[in-house]
Amino acid sequence: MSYTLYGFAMSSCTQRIRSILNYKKIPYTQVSVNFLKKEQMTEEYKKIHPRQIIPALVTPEGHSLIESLAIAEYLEEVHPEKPILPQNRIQRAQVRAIAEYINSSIQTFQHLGIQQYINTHSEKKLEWKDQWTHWNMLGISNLEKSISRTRGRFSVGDQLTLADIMIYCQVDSAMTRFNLDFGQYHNIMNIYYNVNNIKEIEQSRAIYQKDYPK
Amino acid sequence: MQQKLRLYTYFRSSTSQRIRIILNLKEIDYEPKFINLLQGEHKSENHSQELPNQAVPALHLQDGTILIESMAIAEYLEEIYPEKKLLPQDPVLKAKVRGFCELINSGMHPYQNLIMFEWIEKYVEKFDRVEFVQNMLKSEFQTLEKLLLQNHGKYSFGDEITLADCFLVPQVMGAIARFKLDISLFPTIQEVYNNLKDLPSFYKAQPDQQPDFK
Repeated sequence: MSYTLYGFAMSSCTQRIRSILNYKKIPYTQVSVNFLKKEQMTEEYKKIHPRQIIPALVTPEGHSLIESLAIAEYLEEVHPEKPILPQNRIQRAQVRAIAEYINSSIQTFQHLGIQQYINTHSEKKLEWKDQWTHWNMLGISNLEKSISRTRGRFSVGDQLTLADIMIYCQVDSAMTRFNLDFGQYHNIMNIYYNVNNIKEIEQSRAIYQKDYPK
Repeated sequence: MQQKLRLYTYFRSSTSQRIRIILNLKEIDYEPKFINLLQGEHKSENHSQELPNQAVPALHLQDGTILIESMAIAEYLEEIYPEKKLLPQDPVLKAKVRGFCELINSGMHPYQNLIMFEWIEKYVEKFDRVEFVQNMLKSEFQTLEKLLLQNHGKYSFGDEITLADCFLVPQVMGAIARFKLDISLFPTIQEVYNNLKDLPSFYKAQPDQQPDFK
C-alpha cells in the first residue's frame, strides 16, 4: 500500500505535494480530481476532504490529510530522508515564513470566487488573468526583496527547502497558466532555475501529468 | 547586547492575537510594541526596519533576528519553548491540528485582509466588506464545524489546548465583532469557543484587554 494523492495537474498546491513525494522518493498513486469539471463536488470526495478542495493525501494506513503545508510537514517528519526543512531553527522559521506568505498572500488571492464576487457586484469586469497578475506580481516582488536577505544557492541558505518548492510551484503555475513574466525578479528566477534542475521536482510540473488539459 | 523578546502587535489584529495567546500559554516574557494599522503605521518609513513585511505580527528575538508570519512564529515558539506543548506527538494528529490552522490562516483570514478590501474597492463601487466576508467564509465555518465535530473534546482537538485553539478563538472573536457571525449556527464551534475564551491566557490576549485598545 502506498500514499494516494488526490489532486489535479493545474493545481499548484497539488504540484507542491507531488514535488515533495518525488523528491523524497516516496511511492504514491495519483487520483485526478478535475476542478474545471467540478469533480471535487462528489459525496465520495467529501469523505476524503470536508471542504471538497484539493489536494488531499491519504496515507497507507488510510488517514486523510488536508492542507498542503500541513501535508508537507507530515511528510518531512515521517520521511526525514532528503530533508526539506533546515536543522537551524531560525532558518526553519524563515523557510516557513516564505511558504506561509505564498500560501496565504498569493495563492488564496487567486481564487475564482473572488473574481466571481467582483463580477456580480460591479460594472467593471475583472478578468481572472488580471487578478492573477496583480497578486502574483505584488507577492513575488515582496519575496524578491525578502529572499535577498536569506538566500545562498537557494532561498534560505544553500540547501533546497520547502520555501524553494513553494516558490517554484507558484512561479511555474503562473507562467504556465497565464504566461506571467517574472524576468525582472532575478533572485526568484535564479531560485526557479536551480529548482528546475532537480529532475524529480521538474517532473512534477503540470504539463507532464496525465490529466493536463490538452 | 541581548534585548528582550519583542512582539509588534495591533490590538485588533487576529494574527497578532494568535501569538499573544501562545506567548501567554507558554508563559514567555515579552515586550509588546504597538503598531496602529488604522493609521497606517505599518507602512511608514519609521517602522520599515522593524516590520520587514509591513505587517503585524513581527517577533524580534533577543539577538535582533526578526520573525514574521504567524504560523511560522507559532512553530518557532513551539520548538524553542517545548514545555506546555501545543502540538500533539502523533504525526497524524499533528497534521490535523496544522491543517485546521492552515484552513484559518490561508483559507479564511486572507479574505479579511485590508489590502484585499482596498483592491476590491477599485472594482466594486459600494463594496460591503461585511457582506463579502460573510459570503466567502460561510463554507469555511461549516468546514471548521465538521472538523470540530469529529475531533473535539473540551477544546478543538481533545482535552488539551493546541495551536488549533490559538487560531480558532481570534478568528471567531473577530467574525462576531466585525462581520456579524451568528455563532449559534455552529454549535460545536460555539461550545469549544466558550470553553476557551475565558481561560486567562486567551482572555488576556483579546483585543479589548490590550494596552493599545481604542
